[in-house]
Amino acid sequence: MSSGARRLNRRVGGATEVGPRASGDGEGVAVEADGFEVFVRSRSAALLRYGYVLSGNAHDAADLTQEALARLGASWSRVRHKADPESYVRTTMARLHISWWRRTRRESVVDDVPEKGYVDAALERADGDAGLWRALGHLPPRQRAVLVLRYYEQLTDPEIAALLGISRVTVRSQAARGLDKLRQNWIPAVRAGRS
Amino acid sequence: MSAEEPVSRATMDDELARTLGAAAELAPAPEPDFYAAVRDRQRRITRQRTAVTGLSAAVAVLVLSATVLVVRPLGDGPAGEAPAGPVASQVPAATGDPGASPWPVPAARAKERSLAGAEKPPLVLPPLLPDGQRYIPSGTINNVVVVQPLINGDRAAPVLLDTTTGAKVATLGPPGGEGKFRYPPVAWGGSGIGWWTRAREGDPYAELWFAPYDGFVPVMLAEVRDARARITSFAVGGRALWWSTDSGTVYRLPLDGSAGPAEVPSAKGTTVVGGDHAVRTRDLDAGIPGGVEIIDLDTGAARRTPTSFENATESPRCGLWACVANTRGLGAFAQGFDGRSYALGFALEQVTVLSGAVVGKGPDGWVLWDLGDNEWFRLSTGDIKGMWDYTEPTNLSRPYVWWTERDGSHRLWDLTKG
Repeated sequence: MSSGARRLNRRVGGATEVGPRASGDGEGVAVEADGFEVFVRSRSAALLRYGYVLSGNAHDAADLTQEALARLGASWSRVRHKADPESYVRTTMARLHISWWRRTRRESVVDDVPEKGYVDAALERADGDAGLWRALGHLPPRQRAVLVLRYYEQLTDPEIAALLGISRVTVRSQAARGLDKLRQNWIPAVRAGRS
Repeated sequence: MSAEEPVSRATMDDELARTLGAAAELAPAPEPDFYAAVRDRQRRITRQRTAVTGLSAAVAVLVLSATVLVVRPLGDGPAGEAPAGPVASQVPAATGDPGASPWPVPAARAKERSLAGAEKPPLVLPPLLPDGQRYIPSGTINNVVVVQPLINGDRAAPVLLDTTTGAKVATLGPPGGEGKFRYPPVAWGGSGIGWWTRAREGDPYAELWFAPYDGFVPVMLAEVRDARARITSFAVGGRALWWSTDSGTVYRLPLDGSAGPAEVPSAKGTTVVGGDHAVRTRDLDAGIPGGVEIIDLDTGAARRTPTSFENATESPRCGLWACVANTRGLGAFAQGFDGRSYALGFALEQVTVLSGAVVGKGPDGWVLWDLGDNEWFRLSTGDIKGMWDYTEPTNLSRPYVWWTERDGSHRLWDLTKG
């Protein structure tokens, strides 16, 4: 057993422990019965929703959510005592979303313009104006993240700045640029219908 | 609404909230093996950390060995003790090019000092105001502390507290404006503090306020509307308030009230960052990076910050008077615009460059590095709150640092010399 797992066992004490290692694979991942699994199972649906609005599609939403939760799991013993785990995960998701995009942008620059994005028919029905959702899909991830944090998470600009590790000026400028692009690319359904 | 009309801000806000809310409801439910997938990834992370830890340990042994070989011949004191005074010619690079010197120029190594031994130790402020409100400290001068109460999480109009008794002395500006206005952080200038208020609703509208240090009698210098009120950054200079707007325009407003707001054409495309200074908006990310121009709005003179430091592991982050970056093996290095250089001896993360000082997170907690006296102080060994505000470039000119201890009490430290 790794020293990390031994320390964990002592700390957990009499709590019900699923096992000192997750799968006996020798990698020393201690399964904590003190809340992580409960947290994942109870919050994954809400976190997937957040991942969906951040990333814009179900595949990336699941990827983002799983990766953030895995990082939380690796730091669970520290985070659960010091911070709000959900806040930790959401912060991680927002930052991952931006950093993944940066990495992808470096590695996957192509000459050809991609095909027009997929339109979710269900969203079209639910929203009644999927044009805005599509327009969001054309924003760079940082601008999108700022708008999601502001309009979905209802965070203030200082909170967004702290969460993303950027200045408030940057938050404001990213939000303003994102909103400008949306205004350029989005024609409200009611107006489009008239014209 | 015609097809030619732009989409209003209110419409956009409402539609965005509604669209994102509706989209979230369409997210797929977690698959049955979702938790197992998370655990698989967790194992990968653990494996990577183990590998990195092993590699770091090996590197540390190599660096330590090199350091012992280098430091021991110097003689005075135990191995590993930081030598005081200039060290550039004495300490070769731990890593990097064989012929490279560790520092770009001679750098004095900072000495550790205790907070208790500081010339002016930090003020200890209670967790709450006398009326029970939470608050954010801003700065202190002339026996008063300037704070901004937090009402529903938002900053409110600045309030003065007596330094000695903690009693509330005055609220600056009309009380009760929080429902109508938002209050961004107070900005500190050479002769007083300034702040602006932004209307919460309706067309863009802002009020610009100034209170001189002598008496702190607040004066509303101007009301601005529409494009002029779309303020992105605000600063108090020696003789004028400056603010940038989201259109890239910079405005000037004399502190003596002798004229109204005037556009500064030469500063188009910049963001004011404190005092009478601005930086090209496109260059600003989190604070002022290296390799950009800091423009003196009063004189038009520009100063280019260094692009990099020799042996640096990252690009410098700069304030209005100095830049700092971590360097290989020997920690944070700072260079003032006057040419003087300083070495801390260990790395700093989450760095903010203040007026004459650097705040960052060292291996054992938050540290303030006073460049003027080249001394460093441990602010706290744990997590502290409040440093986030220093990502706000508006106040890079102020010589104050504050933080919140675990018990909720605040510390406010005036770094003004003399």
